[in-house]
Amino acid sequence: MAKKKQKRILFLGILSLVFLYPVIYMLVCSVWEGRNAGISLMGYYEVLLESPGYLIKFWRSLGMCLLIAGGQTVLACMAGTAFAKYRFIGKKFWLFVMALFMILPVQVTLLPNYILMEKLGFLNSWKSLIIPGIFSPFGTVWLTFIFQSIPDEWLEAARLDRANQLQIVRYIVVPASKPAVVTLFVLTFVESWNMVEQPIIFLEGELDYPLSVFLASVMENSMAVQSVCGLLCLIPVTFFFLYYHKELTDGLRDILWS
Amino acid sequence: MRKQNRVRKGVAVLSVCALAAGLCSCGIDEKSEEKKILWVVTEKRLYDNVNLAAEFIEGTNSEIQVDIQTLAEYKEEREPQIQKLKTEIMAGKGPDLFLLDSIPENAEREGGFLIDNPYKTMQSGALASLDTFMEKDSYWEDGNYNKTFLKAGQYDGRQYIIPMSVCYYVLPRSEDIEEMTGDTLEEWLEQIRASDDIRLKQALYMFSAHGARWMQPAADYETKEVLLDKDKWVEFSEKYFQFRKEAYEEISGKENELYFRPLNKTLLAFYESQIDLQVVPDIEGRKMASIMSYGAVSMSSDRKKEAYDFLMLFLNDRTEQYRKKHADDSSMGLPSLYGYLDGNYMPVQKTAFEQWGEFPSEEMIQEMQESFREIDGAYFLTEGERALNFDVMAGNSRVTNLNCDIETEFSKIADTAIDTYKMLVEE
Amino acid sequence: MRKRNSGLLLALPALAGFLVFYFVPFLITGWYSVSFGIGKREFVGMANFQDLFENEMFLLAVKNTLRYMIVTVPVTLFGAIVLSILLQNTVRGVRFFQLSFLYPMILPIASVVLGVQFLWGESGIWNKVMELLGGEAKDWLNSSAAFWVLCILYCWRFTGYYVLIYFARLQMIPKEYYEYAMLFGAGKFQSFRHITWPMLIPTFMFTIVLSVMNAFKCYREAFLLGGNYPDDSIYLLQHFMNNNFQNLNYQKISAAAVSIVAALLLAAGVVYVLYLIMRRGKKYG
Repeated sequence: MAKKKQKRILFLGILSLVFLYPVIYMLVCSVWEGRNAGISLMGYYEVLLESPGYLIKFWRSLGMCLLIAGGQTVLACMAGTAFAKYRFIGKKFWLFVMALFMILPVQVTLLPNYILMEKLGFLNSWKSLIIPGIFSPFGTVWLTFIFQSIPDEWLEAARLDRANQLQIVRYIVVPASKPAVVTLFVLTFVESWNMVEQPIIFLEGELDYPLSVFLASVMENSMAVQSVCGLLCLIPVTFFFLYYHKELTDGLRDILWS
Repeated sequence: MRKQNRVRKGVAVLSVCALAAGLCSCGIDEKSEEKKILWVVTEKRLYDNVNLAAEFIEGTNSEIQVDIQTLAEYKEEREPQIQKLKTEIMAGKGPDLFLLDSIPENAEREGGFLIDNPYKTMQSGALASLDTFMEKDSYWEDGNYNKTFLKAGQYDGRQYIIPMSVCYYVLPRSEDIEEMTGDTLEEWLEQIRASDDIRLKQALYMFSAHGARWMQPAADYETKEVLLDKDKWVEFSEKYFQFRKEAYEEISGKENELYFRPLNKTLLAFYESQIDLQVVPDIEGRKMASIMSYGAVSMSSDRKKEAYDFLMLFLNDRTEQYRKKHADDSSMGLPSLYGYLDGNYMPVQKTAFEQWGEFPSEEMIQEMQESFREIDGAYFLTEGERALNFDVMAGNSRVTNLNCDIETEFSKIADTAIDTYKMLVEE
Repeated sequence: MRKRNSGLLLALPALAGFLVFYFVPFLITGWYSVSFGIGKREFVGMANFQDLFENEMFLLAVKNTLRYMIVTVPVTLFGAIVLSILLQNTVRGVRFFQLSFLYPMILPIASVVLGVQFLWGESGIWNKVMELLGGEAKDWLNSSAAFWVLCILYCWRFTGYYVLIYFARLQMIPKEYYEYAMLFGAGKFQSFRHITWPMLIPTFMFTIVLSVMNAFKCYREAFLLGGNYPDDSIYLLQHFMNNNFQNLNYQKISAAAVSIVAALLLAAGVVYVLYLIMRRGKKYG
């Protein structure tokens, strides 16, 4: 039995290395200054100490993505509960439409969104990136599916205790599906981190762009810097994982004993 | 509980209303009735002349203010700038007038172009048709614009783009160099190969940097056909690179005295007079010129007439007339333009040669005009030309340095080029 | 006692935002797809769609994208299911594995492509190894093999994403179910078939939708590998859309988008019906 586990871990380990190949490549790139200079820490020096620009971009991108992830999670929890456990007009229709709309690539609604942003006065401000991100249908649709598996009885019991809808969401639904909710947060964070087209169109001026834009094209002169920035990108998610891992892996066990 | 619900419902309804109201109110634009703004987008190379024209227009028409936007030069700034402009254009809020340039097919521009492919942009409905203005404009009847160039800027029978400068290659032949009797590039190749004149061989040798000019036009965007003939093209490449191999011995080590040159100011500076300019033909005997700058008016513009008038300043003699009329005025005169937009490449009308060329000799002007008459047509430089040119140069080095087989290499290159043109034409 | 409350209020913020920022813009796109001209649009009916379906490049793009999806979706989803089940029962190092599967998604694409070029580019390692073994060195990224490189890229990039989703769902299955089943002598495969799989089906359907969506997001990779006019085999819908965007031809993009949505509607309708049937089966099971 132990041997089987060992084999499994070995298999997973090798697979991980394959997945990690570009990370390793980037680590190498970040210290390799080309054939002449050999190994040097100039990349790190430049990003971390010399020009504050990169770090500023990093923190701003981080802030923006946290806002988007947080907002989306909150809204999705509410709407997911509504779709999964309550009734209202056109529920099935809207769910279907939302699921369909997750599929559209960015360029399709880019132009109407641009006109909309202009009318709302969001252009040239990060509002134009954050607010649509919060309302993305992805979270709602996924959490709807997840919440459907929560037994109805729990909600009935809560209602008997005179809990209103928001309280039900907060005290019953979310704790029961913590892994999913936290996962949604992480996934939304990751997706918004990779946003490239919208910042270019909706924002003016290079200084405002999030880090993702800088990292989206290959700049030959500053490969080391790019690699360092790329490695920086890994930090937030790693942090989430290590910190929130308990939430991710706790299942219904908590609820059952409460 | 009920009261709570009611309060919440009320709040929800109110917020939806607020959102709707906000949307509507933000739609009301503040219109400043003061001046009409003409938004012109141009490139750095053309800026000086565009600026002069802007001064003239503002000086003669107090209602107009010209905003010139010059596209950035470096990739980091230029790419986002162009993306943004394109979105604005498609949203109907873009510039009024485009005065853009092109770069030679063997050069690279980092950050891309605002109009990558003028042919396709004409099909997209983003540009305004200029026919109504041109019909009322007497310039097109009396003026000296070389009408063969107009066709490239037409789509579906309507004129959308007006070419403003062109580039074609000539052989600057002094009297002691034999005259090329052939009509096609291949015949020229034969003649040069058989000749003893090492200078001619040098010139032809260096022409490998312009593979995209060997057969033009390469594609017809209206009929969606690729016109590049693979067999003829590969046949020519074989002969050409064979010639290069043979001529290498003769040429190497000696200083290059003769080139096929584009007709521009460098050529005029180099050769003062006493030369005959022969236009270099392509494989099929056509003499085509590439368009190096052009003007177009945006479909969404509210000031199409003003934009058109601005554009025409570079062609007609309005500034000249004004100058003559106000020659006696003691106040500072308005600038004059002399019938061309682009100082680097050939103007599109003969009358501008003198000023543009900075007063070359009479004979030179004659030669220029003669060569001008020979041109069969013009074409825009697109991704197809650049890719083909690049491939030919790469193929050249593989054939010369690595001794690869000429036919296989250039067959592959022709295939790729035809595929690319096909994609461009059909997309 | 009141019956189920209306959930409208609860869903309203998300729904309203969705309407404003996604639904309405799409309707505007729909308008664009049946009109022509910038500034003053004129209604042209189905002319744009007609042009579109006669457009060879569009048809090529559709064909390639479908091919791409048929390869990547099953491989990625099944791979993710297997991986997440493996992870479910592992105690040690779950975090590390999940993280390493997820990293590909977070890594900036440019670096990833550099890594790929390092492997499979003309002067890449793969070619060097091939030469050593006596094989032929090709420019893999500009040939039809580029398609497989792109598939590998997709699987590698998005598997971690789905693993996370499946894992989250699996974690919500009470362990007691499995213990119970073991008491009755059920083996690993049986407990998968009767416990895990039925609970996973809705999530599975969801990830199908997701993976279709993500297949459309592979533009940047294909662009960095092959440019705007790549080899025929990796010319995807996003290339078509992007190139027409660059050429300011928004009509074509809108028509293409509406066609895609219409096609997906059909497909989704079918899947949804299947899902309803399965769900009904589960209720009675």
